[in-house]
Amino acid sequence: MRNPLLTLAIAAATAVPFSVGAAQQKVDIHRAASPTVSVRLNGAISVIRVVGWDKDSIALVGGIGAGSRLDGGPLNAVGPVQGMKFYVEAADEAGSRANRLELYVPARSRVWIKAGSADIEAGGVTGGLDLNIVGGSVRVSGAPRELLVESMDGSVTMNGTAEFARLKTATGDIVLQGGGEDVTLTTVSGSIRASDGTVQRARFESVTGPIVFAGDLARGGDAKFDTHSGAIELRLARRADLEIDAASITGSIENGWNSGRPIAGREGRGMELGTSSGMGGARVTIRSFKGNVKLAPK
Amino acid sequence: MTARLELVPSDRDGELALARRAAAGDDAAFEQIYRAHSGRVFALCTRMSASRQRAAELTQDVFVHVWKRLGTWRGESALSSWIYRLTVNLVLSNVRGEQRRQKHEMTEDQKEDSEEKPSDLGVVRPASVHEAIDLERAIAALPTGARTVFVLHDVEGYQHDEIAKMTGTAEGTSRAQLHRARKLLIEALNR
Amino acid sequence: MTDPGKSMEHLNFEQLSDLAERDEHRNPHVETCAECHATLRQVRELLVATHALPRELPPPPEAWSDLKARITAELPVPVPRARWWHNGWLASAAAIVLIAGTMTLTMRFTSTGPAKAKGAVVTKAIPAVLTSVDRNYAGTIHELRMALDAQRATLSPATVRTVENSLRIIDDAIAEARQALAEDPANQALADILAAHYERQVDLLRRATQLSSSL
Repeated sequence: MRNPLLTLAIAAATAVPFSVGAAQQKVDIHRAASPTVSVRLNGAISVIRVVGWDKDSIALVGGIGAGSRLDGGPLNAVGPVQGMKFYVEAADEAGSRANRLELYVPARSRVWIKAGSADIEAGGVTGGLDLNIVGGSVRVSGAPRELLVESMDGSVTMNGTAEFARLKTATGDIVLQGGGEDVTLTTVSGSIRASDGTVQRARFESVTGPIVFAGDLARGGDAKFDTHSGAIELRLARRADLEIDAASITGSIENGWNSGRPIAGREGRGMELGTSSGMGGARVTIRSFKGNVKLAPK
Repeated sequence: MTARLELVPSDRDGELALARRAAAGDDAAFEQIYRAHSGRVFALCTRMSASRQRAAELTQDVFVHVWKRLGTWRGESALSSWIYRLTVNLVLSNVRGEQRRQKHEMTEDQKEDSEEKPSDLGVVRPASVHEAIDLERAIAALPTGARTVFVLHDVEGYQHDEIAKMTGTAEGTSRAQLHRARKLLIEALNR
Repeated sequence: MTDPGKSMEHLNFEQLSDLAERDEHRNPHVETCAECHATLRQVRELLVATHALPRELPPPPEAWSDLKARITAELPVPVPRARWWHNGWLASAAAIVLIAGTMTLTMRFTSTGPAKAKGAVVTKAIPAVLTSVDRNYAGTIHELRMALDAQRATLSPATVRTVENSLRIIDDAIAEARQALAEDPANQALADILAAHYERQVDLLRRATQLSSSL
């Protein structure tokens, strides 16, 4: 999978040592970089730590195991790097477990990572993060402008605030401890938990996984919750300014948050609730097929 | 990107006929409209939002709006003008929340601008194949207000009075944001 | 006649930026000041580069099919959708609850006439108002399942199991929602739920097809 441009770039970038070797080798790559550099890192890596720092340079350090190979390099041969690409190959899954890297990037850079089963930890990046794993875990902290995470059964945890976030799993659990301007958390059967932050526009979606929301909605905000059979629980401040529209086709709705009383749904099945508190500044829409819905005070 | 199916008729009558067919549920007609205009809509959304992912979502929002409101377009302006005005309005309402959040950050940016910085005056950057990519990246890195005005004025060709109306600000603010954007871009491109 | 005093005053950036837009070749100060001349040139070069930016950028390849799927979801009257599955990937035991329309992959929004249900297992007739919405989703899902099937050998058994199980969960949810919708076709909340399930299915399939690329 060799890109001729990369091959040329590698030949030109004499300051970049790459290991080809049979034995465990240290990785220690440093390049001056533009403050908004784009970095792509993918392949057979089991542990990746991404650190946004205040230097105009990239550093990739760590080690790769026997039989593994690190390839790639800058996309421009002259001047501070604008784009950089790395690819790690391992002989087998056991080989990939020994591949553990730390990537230091200018805080405003954009980082794209794709790996199989990997534990990714990222902090201090204020540009963009696009992280893709199959299994393992993703833990992000800080305030990235854009956060895209896709996982199959790996868990996803965000501790901080992202302006724009799309966190998706199939079976992995998603935890948002923080808020965001525009966030969507989606799972099939994992759990979703959001707390300790304010969201402006948010969507929380599951098929069978439970959803718990204990955060806050910004004034004029808009949050949608939908599930097929997961339980939905909203823990709301008693004085929150909210307008709530909830419907469960065959499940129940329980409201301990305010005095609004759920009523029987269409044709006597399921339940519906339309209620508001305060000036109704933010809107909450809940749709469930058979999952039970519970509103409770914080 | 797939090839265009057919050329969209440039004459107003032809456009009206196409729009009527699309509004009546003719998917081939709607697809023609989409293929003809989606590239420009996506470009505008990408540059205004500085995010390809968000731009994809916004582009979709635009064409859902087009699909819903196509019956209201009577041909007073070109279909392209109508679609792009709809795009700008939609993107701006999406961006407004971002501007509120960044009010604090703009103060920091302004402080940065006022610092004495050595500048490469007189250094002319040679034209290169990477110039367009550099510029796109630099535009994406602008603060929201500056980026909005730069894209609307220098890329899309709107005048300050139009931008002021669209963004709910004063013409003077629009001019100031434009100058700020150009200054930041020149600094970024000459680093 | 130029005032020598005035020509010594530098123009500030805003003035030079305004000047750059005008086709003025002569400005008394700029002609004699290297610094202002250089700044003016930078602004003009920026404007030239900006005007040279492409007017269009290609949206992602899946944008059109996503748009069709979304418009489908926005249609006011819900329509039972044809369910496609590809035996090579999933030997799902879930039964097809409703099959609406003809089994073609033609992408059309508008109906060519009321569709006849085939093998429906519901007791009520499928609503008369029908678009070929089902076929939009069906086509996309079918293509994605075929693509996924082609890549199956490149994925680990654990990943295959995760994807299959998740798709089965969504299939079951779709089947339940469709059954309910057939019994209560005017229920907008149900229509919203069903549309959401289809979107989740398309999204999961797309993500699964991208797993093996660049891994």
